[in-house]
Amino acid sequence: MRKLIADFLHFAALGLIVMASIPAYAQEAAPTRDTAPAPASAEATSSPAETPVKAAAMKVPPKVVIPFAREAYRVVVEIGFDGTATQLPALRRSLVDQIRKGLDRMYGAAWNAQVEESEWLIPGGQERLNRLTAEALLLRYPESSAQKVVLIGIAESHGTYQISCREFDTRVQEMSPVLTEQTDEEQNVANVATRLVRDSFRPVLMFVKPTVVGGELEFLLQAGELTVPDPTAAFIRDGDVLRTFLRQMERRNPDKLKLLQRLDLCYVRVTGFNTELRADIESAEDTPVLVKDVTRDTSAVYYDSGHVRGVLISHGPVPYGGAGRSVQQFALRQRPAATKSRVKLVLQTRIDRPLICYRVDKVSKLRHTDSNDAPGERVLSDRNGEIEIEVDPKNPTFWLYVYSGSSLLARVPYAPGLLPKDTIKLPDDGLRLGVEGELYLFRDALVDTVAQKAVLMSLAKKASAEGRLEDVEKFIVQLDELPGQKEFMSRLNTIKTPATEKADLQRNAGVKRKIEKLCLAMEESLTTFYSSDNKIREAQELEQLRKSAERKAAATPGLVPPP
Amino acid sequence: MSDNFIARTTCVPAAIALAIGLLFSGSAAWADEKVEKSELPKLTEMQLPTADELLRADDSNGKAFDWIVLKAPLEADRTVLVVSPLEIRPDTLKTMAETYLKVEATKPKNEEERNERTTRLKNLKQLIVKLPGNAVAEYALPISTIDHIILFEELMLRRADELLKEGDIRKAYELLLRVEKEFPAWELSKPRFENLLLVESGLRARDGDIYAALALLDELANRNIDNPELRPRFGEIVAPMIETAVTDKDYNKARYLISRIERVFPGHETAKAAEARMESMADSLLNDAKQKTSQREFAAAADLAWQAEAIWPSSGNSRAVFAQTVARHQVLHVAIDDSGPSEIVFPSPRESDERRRELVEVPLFEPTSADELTYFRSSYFEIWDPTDLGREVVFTLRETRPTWQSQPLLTANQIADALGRRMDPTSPLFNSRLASFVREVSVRSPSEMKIRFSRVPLSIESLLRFPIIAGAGIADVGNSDVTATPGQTADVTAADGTGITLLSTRFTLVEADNTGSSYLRKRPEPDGLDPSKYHIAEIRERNFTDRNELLKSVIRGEIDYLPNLLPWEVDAFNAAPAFQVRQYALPITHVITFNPLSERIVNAQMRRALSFALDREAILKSIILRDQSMRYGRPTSAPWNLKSYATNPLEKPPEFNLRLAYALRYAAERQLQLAELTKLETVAKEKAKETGDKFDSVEFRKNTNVDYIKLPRLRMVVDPDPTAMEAAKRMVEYWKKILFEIDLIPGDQPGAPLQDSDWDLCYRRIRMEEPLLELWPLLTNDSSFDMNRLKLFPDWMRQELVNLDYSASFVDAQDRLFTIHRHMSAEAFIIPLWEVDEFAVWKKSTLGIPENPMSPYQNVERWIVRP
Repeated sequence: MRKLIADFLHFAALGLIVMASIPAYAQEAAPTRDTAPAPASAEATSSPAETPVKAAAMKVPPKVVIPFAREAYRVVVEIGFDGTATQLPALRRSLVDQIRKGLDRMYGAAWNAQVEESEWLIPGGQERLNRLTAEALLLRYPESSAQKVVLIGIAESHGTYQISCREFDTRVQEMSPVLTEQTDEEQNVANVATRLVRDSFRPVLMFVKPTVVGGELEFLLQAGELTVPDPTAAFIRDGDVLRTFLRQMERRNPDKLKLLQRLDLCYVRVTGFNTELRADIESAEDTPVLVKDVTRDTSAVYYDSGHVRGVLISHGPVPYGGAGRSVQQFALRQRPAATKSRVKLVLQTRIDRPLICYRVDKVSKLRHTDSNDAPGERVLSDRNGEIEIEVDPKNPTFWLYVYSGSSLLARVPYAPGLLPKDTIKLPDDGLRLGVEGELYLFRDALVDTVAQKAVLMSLAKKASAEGRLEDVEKFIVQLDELPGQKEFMSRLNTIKTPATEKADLQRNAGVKRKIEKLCLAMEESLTTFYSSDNKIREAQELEQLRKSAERKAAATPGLVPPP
Repeated sequence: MSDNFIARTTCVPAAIALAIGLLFSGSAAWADEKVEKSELPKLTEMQLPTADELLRADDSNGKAFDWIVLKAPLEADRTVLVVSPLEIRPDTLKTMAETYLKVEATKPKNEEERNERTTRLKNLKQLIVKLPGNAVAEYALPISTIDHIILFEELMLRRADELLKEGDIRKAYELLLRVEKEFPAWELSKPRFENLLLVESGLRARDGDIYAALALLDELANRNIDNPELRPRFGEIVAPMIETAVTDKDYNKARYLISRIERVFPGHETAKAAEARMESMADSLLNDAKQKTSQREFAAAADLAWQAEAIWPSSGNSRAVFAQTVARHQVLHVAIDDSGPSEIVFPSPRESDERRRELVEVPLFEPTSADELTYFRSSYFEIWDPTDLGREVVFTLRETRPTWQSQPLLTANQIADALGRRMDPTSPLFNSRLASFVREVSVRSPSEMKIRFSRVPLSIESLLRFPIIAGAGIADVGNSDVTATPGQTADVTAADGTGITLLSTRFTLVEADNTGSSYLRKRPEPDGLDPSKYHIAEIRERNFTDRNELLKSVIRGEIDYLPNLLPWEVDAFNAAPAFQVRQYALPITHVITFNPLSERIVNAQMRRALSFALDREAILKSIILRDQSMRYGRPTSAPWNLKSYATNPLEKPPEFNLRLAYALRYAAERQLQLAELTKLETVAKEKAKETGDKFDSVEFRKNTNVDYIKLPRLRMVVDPDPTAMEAAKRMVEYWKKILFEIDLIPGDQPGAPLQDSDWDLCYRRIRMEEPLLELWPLLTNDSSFDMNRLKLFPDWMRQELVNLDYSASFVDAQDRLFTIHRHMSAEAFIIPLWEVDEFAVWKKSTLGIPENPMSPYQNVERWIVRP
C-alpha cells in the first residue's frame, strides 16, 4: 500500500502538482491500475514536422488565441473501404460526401472537420480498426495536425454493409472503443456512419477551478459555447462521466507535452451544465444594489453553456482538481460503448496473477462517503479474476468494495461500459489472509475447549448433586487436562511468529502490522477468558462441588446387604 | 391283506380244549374279553388294528400285544390267541427252534446237566405267554400247536402297508419309525421303507415337487439299488421334466436331470435318449454358427455357438468349431447391481456413472496405476515433451495403432478443435480451469500440435483428462483409419442432437434397459488373426436387483466379471478356485459433503458437531465391513486415498466425542439465537430512537427470549448403495443422540437429480485419483468451477483452493494440500468417514486383466474371454 502511495507521489512530483486535498480515507485502500505515463515520444517525432510550420508561422500574423469554450474541434475524419461493392470510386465519393454533409449538419461550427477517403486505411473493416494502436496513430496524426481523428471503416459483404468507427484523441493519445453497426441498405450507410461518429466522439473538458461550495470541480467544455445544430449530438448531458488526464507541458515551451498521465479509476460525475443565469431570482445572501436612474432588467436569462460542474470520485488521493503550473487537467466525456465491462483484478506485484474468487460489493452511490440508498450487490471474481459490471443508466458510476477475509482490500469507483475490458491492481493480502484462517481454526479450538469445559462442569455438578464423589473427582481431573492459557498462547505464537517473519522478509510492514493486530485481538480474548478472576471462581466452584458431593455421600446410607 | 391271516383249520375241538385249559389256569385273564370263552377268534375274523390303536397300544403303558396263530387242519380255521408281548422277539419260533437245536446238541457231563438239559428242552417245546391285563399268570403253550406268531411290530408293518396304499405317508412313516426303533434294520421293515420312499416320491412327483421326488428315489437307490421299481420310476419322473426343460430352452436343467439319472443308473434309456436329442440340437446350431461365420456375422455366430454350448457341451471337432467361433466375437458378461443408466435423484456423480463413461469415452489421458501418485497414459499421444520450462508442450500423435485398440486415430486438428470448445466460454463444454491454463493451441501438422500455457500446470495429464468432442465438420475431417479394413472405418458417435460428436470412443452402447446394457467394440478387430489374438468384442452388463441372485449367477458361471465385491464376499471368492480376485489400486472413500448453497448449514460448529458425533469405527465394523478386524477398511481423515501424497500424516480421523458434539451443537444453535437477538435489538433500538425512549441494550438482551430459534432440520441424500444407506441410518441414530433432526433421502429413487434447494448433506462414495484437481468439484458438488459455489467457505479457504492451481512445484502442491487437509479436518468442510478397499472378481477364463485395476474397465479392449 505504501508503494502505491509512493507511486502517486512520484507522479505528483513530476508535475509539481499541488494536491488540492488528499482524503484520509484512502490511505488504506488505494489500488492502482495501469497508469504508465505515456511518453511524449509522439511529440518528439512531431517536432521535425513542426519546424517548417514554425518557420511559416514567423511569416504569418501573431496567433489569435481562441477561448477554449469557443474553440471548435479540429477533426480529421478518414473513411476506409473494404468489399467488392465499395471498389466503385463513385460510390466511395458519394459516401464520403454524404458523411461530410451529415457531420456538418450535426456539429456545425463546433467542428472544423476535414472529411476524406483514407489513403492508408485499406482495407477499412472492423478488424483493421481493432488492430490500430494509439502509438501508430500518433505518428500519423500528431497533435499539431488535429485534435481528434475519427476513422470510419465501411466494409461490404454480400450486400451487407458493416460500418465501424473509432475516435482518436491526439491530446490524450487514446482511442475510443470500436463501435460497429450493420445495414443492408446502401443509402443508409452514411447515416449510420454519422451516427457512429457522434457516439464515438468524446468532447474534451479542461479543469478550471474547484467550486466554492459543494466540493465540486468546474470545467470548461471545448466548443461548449458554440451551438451544436443536432440536439442528439449535445456534448454534455445529465449523468455523463468524465475520464481524467493530466498533461504536463514543458515549462519553457508550453505547447510541448512533457508527460501525459491517465488517471485510472478516477472519474468526474457531471452534476451541472448549461446553468441558467437569471436575474429574477434573489437568494438570501444577495444584497439588492440600487443604482440611481437605472432600472433592473430582470427578464434576461443567460445560459452558461461553456461551463460544466462535476464531482471527482477516485479510489484515493489523486493529483487532480488542484492548481499546478504547466499542467493541463483534461477530461474526456465518455459514454458507455458496451453494455458491460469485464474488470480483471490482478495482483499488484504480479499482474499475470489474477485474484480469483474475491468478494466484491458493487454499491450505487456518488461519493463513497454517501450512505447506501440500496443494498450493494455482491459478486465473486471468476477463475480469470474477472468480474462483470453491467451499465446502469441511472448510476453511471459504482463503488466497488473488494474484500479479502475480514479486511477491505480496496474501494474503487468504476464507470462500466466505457472500456469493455479493464484491469485493477490490488495488493497481496495472502499472508494476512492465511493468518486469518489459522486464527479461525484457533478460535474453533478455543470454542471446543470452552464447550468441553461447560459439559464437564455440568456433569460434575450433576455428580455432585447425586453425591458421586468419585465421578466429581474424575470430571475435575478431565477439566484439568483440557488445554489452558499456556497451550493456547504457545499455539498463537506459532501462528504469529512465522507470519510476521515472512512479512519482514517481504518488507511488507503493512501486512505485518495487520497480522500483529489480529493476533493481539485474539490474545486479548484469551487473556479475558483465562483471567485470574475466572480461574479463582472456577476453582472455588469446583471445591464447592467436591464438598457438596462429600456431604451428600456421607448422608446417603450405605447399601444394606440382603439378609 | 387281512385275508392272509385267515387260515382255514379243521382242528376246532382241540382249540376249544386248549382254550378251556387256559381258562382254568388263569380265569381272571379273560374276564374282560367279549369273545366266547370256549372259542378263540379265527385269524380270518381278526381285524387288523388301526394305526391309532397300534400307536396307543405301543405307548409306555404296555398295552401292546402279539397274535399267536394256532394250528388248525384247515388254514381258514386257524385261530388267534392275543397275548401280551412275548419275551423272545422277533422271530420267536425260529429263535426257540435254534435254541432247541443248540441245547439238544450239547453233551451233558453229569446228571445235573442232563436234568437241566432235559428241562430246557422241555421248556423250549412250549411257549410261555401272558394274557393281556394279567401280568402275573403265565401259561405254557406247546410249540407244536402254534402255526406262527404275528408280533405287534409286524401288525404295525401290516397296517403301514395299508396306510401306504391309502397314501397316508405320515402315519405309515410313524409306524415304521416305531418298528425301526424297536428292531433296527429288521428284515421285515426294509421293504416297507423302500415302499414308503417309492410311494412318497410318487406323491411328490404328482404334486409337482419333482426334485423332492428325485431325492427320495436317490435315497431309495442308496438303500436298495436293486429295487425293481426304482429304474422305471426314475424314467417316469425325469423324462417329462427333461421334455419340459428342453421345450422351455432350459438346457441347464435338462442336462442336470440327465446327470441325475446317469449318476444312479449309468446308461439309463431315458438319459440316453435325451442326451442324443440335445447333442443333435447343439450340432445343428453349431453348423448354423459355422455358416454365419463364413458370412462374417461373427456376433450372430458366437451367439449360436454359445447357444449350442448351452444345450450340450461340445467335444471333439465340435469343440474346435465352438472355440474358434466364440473367440472371434468374445462377450464379457458383467454383473452389476446399481440402479442402471436410468435417472435417479442422487445429485452427485456416482462411481457407476464413471464405469459407463469409461466404456464409451476415452479421455486423452487415462490413469494406469497409482501409489502415492497416480500415473497416466495416453491412447492418442506418442510423445509429449514440455519445453520452455513447461510453458509449452509439443504433442506428437500416434499414427498407427495395434489391432486391439478400438478407438479411432485422431488428428491434431480434431484435438485442437476439442480444446477450443472447452476453452470457449459460450460452449456447453467450457472448462474454466483448462481455459485459465491454456494460452494458445497451435497445430503444426496432422500429427503434431503445441499447447502454450499461460502458467505451468503441475500435471498436464490430469488437466487433459477429457474425451475429444468436436463439431460435425471437424469430426468428418481426418477420420482416416490406417489399419481398418474397407467398410470398417470408425465413424464418430453422435453425442446428442446438438450437432457435436464424440470422437474418442472405445465401445458403443447398443442396447440398454432395466435388465442391463450391451456395449459393442467401436472398431471391430480385423479378420484373419489367430483366434488367440482376438479380444473382447462385446460387453453385456446384466443388472441384478437382488445381491443374492447376482452371486448365484456368478457362482453358476453365467457371469465372467463382477466389478465390485462387498468386503465380506472377498474371502469366499479368494478361496474359490474358479475365480480370480483383484484389488483396485485405489480404495473407495466414503464422505459426507455439504451443499455449498444450502442455507441450513449455518456454521462451522454445526458441521463439526455432526462430525464428532459419529462413531466411525463402530459403523465400519458392523455395517460396512462386517468384520471386527477391519481388514479391508479403515476410518479416514481425508476424502482421498490415505496413502496419497496429499495426505497430511499428522491428521488423524475425527474422534468420536459425543459430549463435545453435543456442546458444539448447542454452540451452533446459540450462534443462531444471538444473531436473532442482535436483529431484534437493532429493530428495538430504532423504535426507541423514533419514540425518544431510552434503550438499555443489556436489559433488552437479558429479557428477550430467542429460544424459539432452533437449528434447522437437515436433509441428507445418500449414495444409491444399500450398504451406504444402512450406514446412513446408523449415523442418523448417532445424530439423534445430540438432538439433530435429519431426514434421509435414498439416492436411488427414480426422478430428476435433486436441486440445490432440496438437500443439505450428501453421503458419497468417491475414488479420487488426483486430489489436486478433483478436490474442488467434490467440495462444490459441481464440475463447472463456478465461484459462487464456494460461498460456504471462508475467504481463506477459498484462496487455498484457488491457489492449488498455482502450485509452482510438486512439493509446493503437497504443502498446500497438507494445509487444506488440516483445515478441512479442523473445520469439517467435509466429513470424512472411512475408506474401503475395493475388489473385483473375474472368472479364471478371463485373461489380460490388470493386477491392480484403477477402474472397472481398465484396458478392457485387451481382455480375453476364453470359453
